Order: sequence, then C-alpha cells, then structure tokens
Amino acid sequence: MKDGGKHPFLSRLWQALFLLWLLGVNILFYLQFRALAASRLPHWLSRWHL
Amino acid sequence: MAPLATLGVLLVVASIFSVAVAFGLRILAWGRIEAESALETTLFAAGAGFLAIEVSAFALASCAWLHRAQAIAILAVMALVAGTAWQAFLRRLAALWRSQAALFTTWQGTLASSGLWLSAALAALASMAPLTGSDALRYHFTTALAAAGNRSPLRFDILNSFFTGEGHGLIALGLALGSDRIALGLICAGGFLTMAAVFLLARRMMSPSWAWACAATFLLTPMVFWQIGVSGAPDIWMAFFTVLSVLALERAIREEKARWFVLAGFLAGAVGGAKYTGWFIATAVVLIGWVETRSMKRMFLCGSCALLAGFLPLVRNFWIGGDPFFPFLIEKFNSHALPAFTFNAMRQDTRSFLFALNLRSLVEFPVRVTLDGHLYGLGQLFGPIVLAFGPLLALVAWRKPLLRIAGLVWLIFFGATAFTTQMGRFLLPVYPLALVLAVAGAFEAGRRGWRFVRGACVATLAFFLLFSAGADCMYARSFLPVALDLENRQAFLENMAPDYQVTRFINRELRGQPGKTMVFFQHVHYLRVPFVSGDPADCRATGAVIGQGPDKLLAVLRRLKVRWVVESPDFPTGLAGAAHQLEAENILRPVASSKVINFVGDRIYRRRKEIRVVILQVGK
Repeated sequence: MKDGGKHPFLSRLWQALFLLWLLGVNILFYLQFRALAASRLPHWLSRWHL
Repeated sequence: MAPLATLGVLLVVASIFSVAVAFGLRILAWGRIEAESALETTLFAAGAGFLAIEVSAFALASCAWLHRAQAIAILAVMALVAGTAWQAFLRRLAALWRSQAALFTTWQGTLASSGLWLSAALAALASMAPLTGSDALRYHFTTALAAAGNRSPLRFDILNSFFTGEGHGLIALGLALGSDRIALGLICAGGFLTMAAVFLLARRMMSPSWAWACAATFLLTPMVFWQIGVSGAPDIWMAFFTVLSVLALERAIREEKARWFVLAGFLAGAVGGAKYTGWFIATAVVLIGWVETRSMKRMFLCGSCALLAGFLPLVRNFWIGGDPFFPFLIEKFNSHALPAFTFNAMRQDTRSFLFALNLRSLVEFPVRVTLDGHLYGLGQLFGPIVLAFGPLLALVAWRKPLLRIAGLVWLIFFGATAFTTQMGRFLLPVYPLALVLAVAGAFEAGRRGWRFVRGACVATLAFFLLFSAGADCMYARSFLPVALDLENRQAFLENMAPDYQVTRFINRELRGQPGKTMVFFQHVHYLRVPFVSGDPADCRATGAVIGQGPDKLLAVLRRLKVRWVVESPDFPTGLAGAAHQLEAENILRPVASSKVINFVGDRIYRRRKEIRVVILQVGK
C-alpha cells in the first residue's frame, strides 16, 4: 500500500488525523511540566518561557 | 580517593556481571540453547545467570543468612561451575566489542554510539551516589539491610517488606558485599541489559538506525533513567526478564522445541518472582504459548518452570503472613488479619489518586496515564512516544508471532494494571514492549512512503530525546558531585535524602541506649538504633489502636518494648489524641529536641521546611 494504495483519499485523511493527534499529544504532554520546570529552572527563564 | 572507590564499585559490578554471563552460558550450553547472535546469547546468558544469583541470594536473605562470606561463595561457585564457558564469554565479549567498534566508522554511528555511551556513563555515575530514593529508604534497602544483619527481612511494622521479591536478592547481595553502591550498580546494570534487549527486540522489527533510536529513547526516558540511576528499586529487572521471555517464547513457538519453552518459563517466572504484578506477565506468557501452540504439555512445561523460578516469595509470604500475596488476598486465606485502617491505607498506597473502576476511568486511563501522569503514579515520566505513536500500531504486522506475543503481553499487563492499580510507574516491565511496538508502527509508516508521518515521528522522537537528555542531566546534576567526591557524603545526604536529618538526630541521641525507638516517618534506612516503624498506614500494631484511647497505645508500646517515641513534627492523626494524652499524664516525657530541615512533598520539587523533632521517653 504505497502512499495510499487503493484509497488515497482515506489514507491521506488518516495521515492528517494522525498528525493532528501527534501534535495534540505532544503539546498536552509537555505542558504538564510547567510547574516542575518553574521550580527548577532559573527564575528569569521560567518566567520568560512558561 | 572516592573516584577510585567509585571505579572499584563499578569493577565489582562488572565482575558480578561477568560471573552471571559466564554461568549463564554454561546453563545455555547444558540446555543446548543456541541463540542467533552474540548479543542474544549474551542477554539470555545474563538472564539465566542473574536469575540464579537472585534466587540464591533471596533464599539466603529470607533466612537472614546472607553475609559477605555467603555472597562471595555464591559468586565463587557460579564462577567455578561456568568452567570452560569463560572462554565462550570472552569470545562473545570480543564479538560485541567489534560490532560496537564497527559503528564508529561512520559519523552517524559515531554520534549515536557516543550519545548512548555518554548517557549510560551518566546513569552509572548517578547510581554511585549514596542511596536517597524514597521507596528504597522505606523498604527496598531497609529490609535487605535487616537480612544482612541477621534479622528477618519481613516486618509487620513495615508491611511493604512483604512486597519484596527475588529482585531484592541483588540488593541484599550488594549490601552483603559491603556497599549500597554495589546494589545500586547492579540495578543500573539491569537497566543497561534491558536497553540492549530493547535494541535486540527492535532489530527484529526495524532497521538498525531505528533500533538505535529505540534503545536510546528507552535509556533516556526519565522513568528509566530515574529507576536505574538513583531510585534504588529493582523493578527494571522485571523489564529485562519480560523482554527476554517474549523473545524466548517466540523462538519456542517458531522451533517447537521444549528447551525454549523451559527458558521462556524460567524467564517469565523471574518476572513473577520480582513483584506480585509480575505474575500477570508470567501468566500471559504461559497462556500465549498455549494459544499459539495448542499444546497442553508445552503449557504445563512452561508454567511449571515459571512457578519454579518465582515461587519463593509466595512461599515466604504464606509462611510468615498467611497469604502468598500478603495482604491483598488475606480475606481469602483468612489468617493474620490486618486492621481495616492499615489494609485500606496499603491498598490506597498501591493505587493512583484517581483510581476508579468505572467505564469512564478505564477508557481514560491509557490517555491520562501519560497526560495527567502526576495523578496516575508518575506515568508522565514515560514520555509521550507510546501514546503519540499509538494509532500507528494499526500498521504493525501483527501476523508475525514476535509482534503478536509482545503486543499481547503488553495488552494483558496494561489491562491488569488498569483494573488493579492504575499506577503509571507499575507499567515499567512492559514499557520496552510498548516502546518498540509503537516505534515499529512509525517505521512501518515510513516504509509505506508516508513522508509527513515519518518526518513528524522522527521529529517527535528527536525532540523527546533532547528533552529527556536535558531533564536527565538536570536531575543527575545533584548526584554527580558526591559520586566524584566533590561533595561531602553527609552534606549530600542531609540535602537530598528525605528524613535524613531526623534519623541523624535520633542516631546521635539514642545510639547505645537500651530499648526500641518508635518513629512515624517512612524513610528509616539510615536509622542505626533498634526501631519500630509506628506509621499506622504501614504497621499492624499501631493500625489496630487507631482512634482509641491512651491505654491501648501504651499497651502497644509496652508489648513492642518501645522505650523512646519520636514526634517529627507531629504524631499520625489517628494516634495524636492518645499520644498527647500520654504526654499530659507524663508517661511520655520529652528528653531531647532539635530543629531540622526536611522535604515537604515530592523531593523533585525541592520544597523544604524546618520541623521540630522531639524524642519522648516512655515512663515506667
């Protein structure tokens, strides 16, 4: 099934949905560490970035 | 001197590793078990050898009979039994060295290998710091130390001691050899072996560069780095034995030879013998073997070997506690009843904050264990890879037995965890399987020509590797100076070990005094006076008098021969009324007090507070 196989539209839709999922999981995952980072990073850095 | 001492400890660990592998090679030769590569042979040999060490050390420690002489005797006998296998060991080592050296011929290989070796060195160095892990100070090392000091490792005032398994044999061996750093080094060695097993498993499903990425991701994953570096918990060995049992079972099914079912059974039993939850994995391996072969004979063979390898902790707990899975099946075995408060506290302690057995919780668990990890037993420390790549599991070639077995073992254990504890960190034994399968999905997407998906997966992996490397370095930063003798050991422990300043004050005031000391904090490993851990959440005797009058508490103190009671800073809620009443009646009289700095909440957040510690003498 090279790049979509018999159903290229469905395949691309699936890939697009997966990319959204991947982005969402990554964002939500790294957001968890705000509190921890704030307690361990230098104050100016934690305030600036988080 | 200390860098030399660190080097010495690492050499001792390397020697124990060599003995284990040489002995394992002898066992494999006896069983006519021939693996397919130098790495696979070395790992199976390490599995067999370390299982033998674990079981012997655990058996001796359970009888409080594991001292330096016995520890050396175990290793000497194994080294002698290995005999001619030492030559095979050296050949395998040379082959592994050559394959490593070959990687340094390209810049990509040099970069990948150097990164991996540097990370491994960082973890090994961090593990050489004095013990500060919370659960290790509470029971992993405390019970092993008791065994090395002629005392039973099981205590009804530290009920968590019943959770110790054969993996604790390695801790007991290290302590019997004279150093907690040897024990920590052996835990770290388990991490490196698991990383190699991850590479081996991944190599069966993907290209070398992806397999390297898998191994590096595994090692740098904060959960793994913490577990093998400084936690002092032997759970990583469960992950090692789990991967090996999956590999052995696949070979058993492929070749239909009894000897591989025997090996798969022993390795699965090693997982069961390490911790109660490991029996889910052992059962899964045996059942999958049966489903794949439809042979009852093979299933019984595999199951019997699993039981043989892991039955010791169950027998010990049944003997002492009246329940092989003490205290969780205590009602079924109807013996040695625990107070309801203590039983509920223990059950609560082994479950996540949000544990619930309704449909919504069970459906949410796979997602929230990663995204709300702090509420689900530190699940966030595994990183986002498995969850993020999860949908790609649909692309994996499930028709191949190895992938199917790995997937089923993961699924069964994950399901069992969701139904029993919903604790993220308890998933460590199957994390290698989950990670390799998830990355196999990404690899498959690349093979199908899905460029964007492949690129996004590579970027996700690369970002997580960078994030983890940074997080691990920041975490290890506090542990490296003491390992390299740039920081004083006492100062390090006072700064990093929970409750250490309290234990130091107690040791200073009460060492040499007759009678036992009752304490209510959990991190008791560094106490050097006879003690009773009085936290009713972990102690049968005080749990039985919770919420009752001072007479009952006094009776417990008298029965346990307690002469000193430590208030630091308060008594446990259910005992406070009775204890203060005894103080008012001058039965508990303050004799010494001090102000110390202690952690508040998890150490990682570095919140500290000054607390007052009072030692009270129990009047006659």
